[in-house]
Amino acid sequence: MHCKTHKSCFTFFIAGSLIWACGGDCVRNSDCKAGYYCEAGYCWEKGSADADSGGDTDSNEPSDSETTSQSKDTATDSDSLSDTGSDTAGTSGTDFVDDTGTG
Amino acid sequence: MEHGTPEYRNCFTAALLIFVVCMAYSSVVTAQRPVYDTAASLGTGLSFGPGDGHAVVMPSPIYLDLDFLYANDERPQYELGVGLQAEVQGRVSVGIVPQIRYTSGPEVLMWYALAGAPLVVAPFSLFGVEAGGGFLWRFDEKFGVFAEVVVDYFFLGTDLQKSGALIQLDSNAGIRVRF
Repeated sequence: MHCKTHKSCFTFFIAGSLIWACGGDCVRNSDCKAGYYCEAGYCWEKGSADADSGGDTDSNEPSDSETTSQSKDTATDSDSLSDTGSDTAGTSGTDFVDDTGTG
Repeated sequence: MEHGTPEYRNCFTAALLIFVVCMAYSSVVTAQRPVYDTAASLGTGLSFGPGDGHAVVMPSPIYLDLDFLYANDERPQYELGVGLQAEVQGRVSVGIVPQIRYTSGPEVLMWYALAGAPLVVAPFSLFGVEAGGGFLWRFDEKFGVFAEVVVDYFFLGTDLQKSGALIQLDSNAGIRVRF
């Protein structure tokens, strides 16, 4: 669910308990599952970008529908912490952004 | 920012410094009769973070708060405290919150304003500043109930997004006991 304007976000805030999320999955890294980090309001898998980025290295924007669905898909079927751990051993979320920026 | 890095140590040093200053201030005014309170409360609220061109709003994790407060009978409107805070919803974290409070004094219904420097130390780190206020209703000499609203602004820590700070608007309520 996305807020088109700050006013709509404020409306949600006033509504309070009616709607408990506005425009994203997370505001902190700890809002995401283990092996994921939070950036721009969405959960991203640590280290997965090196394998998945392919020809999509020009855009770092999480608003991209492909990356958003990727994030949500991986978040829902993430059942192997050991895999994630080994992925993150070599690279971090920060590395991912830097790599895509320079590559 | 990982544990053990200079930035994390700076975080810890800043909180420690605030705590020492608070304690030093308390030692100046200990010539008067000290008054010690303990407060326990439960709270939650809303968390605001940067999103893709708009703010993201999430529920704040439910947290437990245990405050140890000091005042003296000559300046009852000033209170110094240290809070132990633990998030218990969706994650478990622990932190400390050095605080200073200005109160309306020893009344049955007391209001107060507070300022502090929350520092989450485990399993991740968060550091920021907070401000808020609340009401305490003492229904006898020893016991009271209170409710407060606090705004936290976290700008350092491993739990933050790379793209920005975290703002929390929380409220909590609980009991307060005087020793």
